[in-house]
This record gives sequence, structure tokens and C-alpha cells, in this order.
Amino acid sequence: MPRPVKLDFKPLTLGETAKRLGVPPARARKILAMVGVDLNGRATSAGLTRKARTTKASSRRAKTTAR
Amino acid sequence: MTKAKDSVFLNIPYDPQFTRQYLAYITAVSALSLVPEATLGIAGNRRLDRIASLIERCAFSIHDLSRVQLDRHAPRTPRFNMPFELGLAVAWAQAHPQHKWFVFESVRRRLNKSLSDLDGTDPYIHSGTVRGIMREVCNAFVSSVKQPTVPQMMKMYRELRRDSPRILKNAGGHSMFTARVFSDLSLAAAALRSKYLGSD
Repeated sequence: MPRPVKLDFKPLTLGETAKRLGVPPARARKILAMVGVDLNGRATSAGLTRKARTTKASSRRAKTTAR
Repeated sequence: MTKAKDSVFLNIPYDPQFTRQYLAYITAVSALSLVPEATLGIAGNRRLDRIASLIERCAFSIHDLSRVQLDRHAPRTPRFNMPFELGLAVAWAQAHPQHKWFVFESVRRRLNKSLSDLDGTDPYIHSGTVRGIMREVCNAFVSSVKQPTVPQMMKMYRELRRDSPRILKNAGGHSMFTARVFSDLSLAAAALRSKYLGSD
């Protein structure tokens, strides 16, 4: 197996990524809102709620399994 | 031509049977902060020129040669696009060694039979699984910033898969294999990298 190639570059911000991919700003904002992060890559309250909901659901599942 | 050090050309099958693997490739390369590029949406008689220029502007290319069987529709043929585009990338890399190309396969030792010209090249064997693709992409690349783990990539993948029907609905289409849906999925995957691996 060859040695892995080292990636040596500064990662793009989400805004720059959207631009590179040709996603217009309004559509980009909609996609980021769906994932739950802002253009700076920080989790938005919607994203945090979604994460908390997922955690709550998995702990509920774990409890049910334990019973 | 501006060469993007962070762009990777995904030369993979674009069909519904490959949807899970398609999402896995988008997730895996995005987790490494790479920007995926595809030939989706490239049509017409200038297609070959555009494919060539896509290879030229990408620093890396991933060629998945796991789809070697005949298709179901008459006349039954194998798909030659992927090995052909691999040939273009290899020729480009001969003249421009900074372009790195990688061959992915699902079955061990099959490449020696299907494409013996590549003898001496080690393909990355993903066994046709999502986890296998994550593992092999991590074997091909190592990030100098933040190397994602396979479980982190799997979390990203699961969330991207969950969000994909909404992305498809917003695009007003029925196929995941269009240029618009590919861009939107790639942006969502980059956002998931920020969410699960933190901002760089």
C-alpha cells in the first residue's frame, strides 16, 4: 500500500466552498441552516437543538434496551 | 488554468445502485477539507474537453473501477467512461506529476484482470461498503490540519443521507445525480465537517 498523500493547504471557509461549488448565497444559507451551522462553521441554535434531540433519542433508546 | 490544491475529481458511477457509495465519497473527501468535482451536468460534444479541463484543474482524482459488470439494458455493455477518464488522468499525471490519481475497487485482485496495464498499482479496496470507502479514503490521504476518524465520517454520512431527500426536494428533481444536487450535497457535507470536526 503506498504512503498516504499529505494534504497541505488551508481549508476553505464554508462561504468560499459554496462559491467554489457554484452554490448561490441564498441557497447556501438554506443548506447550512438545514445542517445547523452558520457561514463561519459555528453550530446555530437549530443545529444544537437537533443534536440535543438526537442525543436524547439515543439515550431513550439505550434506556429501553437496558430495560 | 488555476489549479486547485484542494480539488478532487470523483470519477465514480453515477446511478441509483451506487447512491450510498456516492454519498460516502462526497462525505469522505469533504471530511478531509477537499472539494469534490464531478462530470455531472457536463453534456454535449464539448464534454470531452470539459472532462479534460476538470482533470487538469484538480490536484487529485479518485477513480472507482468497481462497476465492471454489464448493465441491464439492451444492448448490454460495460461502462467504459470510468477507465477512459482514468486513462486521461494517468496521461495528464505523466506530464504533470503533481497530479495524484488513486484507483478504488470493491474486489481484491480484480483490477489485475480487468485492467492489467495498471499492474504494479495498488488499488484501494473498499468492498463496496460505505465504511470501506471512508477507511480507504483515509488510507489515501492524510490531512495536515485535522485527520477525521472513520466513526466521525460515519456520523457525517448518516446525517447527509438523512438530509439528502430534502436537498433533492429543494432542487425540484428526482435524481441525486445532477450537477445542482451534487453541489448542494457537497456543501452540506462541508458544513457537516464543521459541525463534527470543528471549524478549521
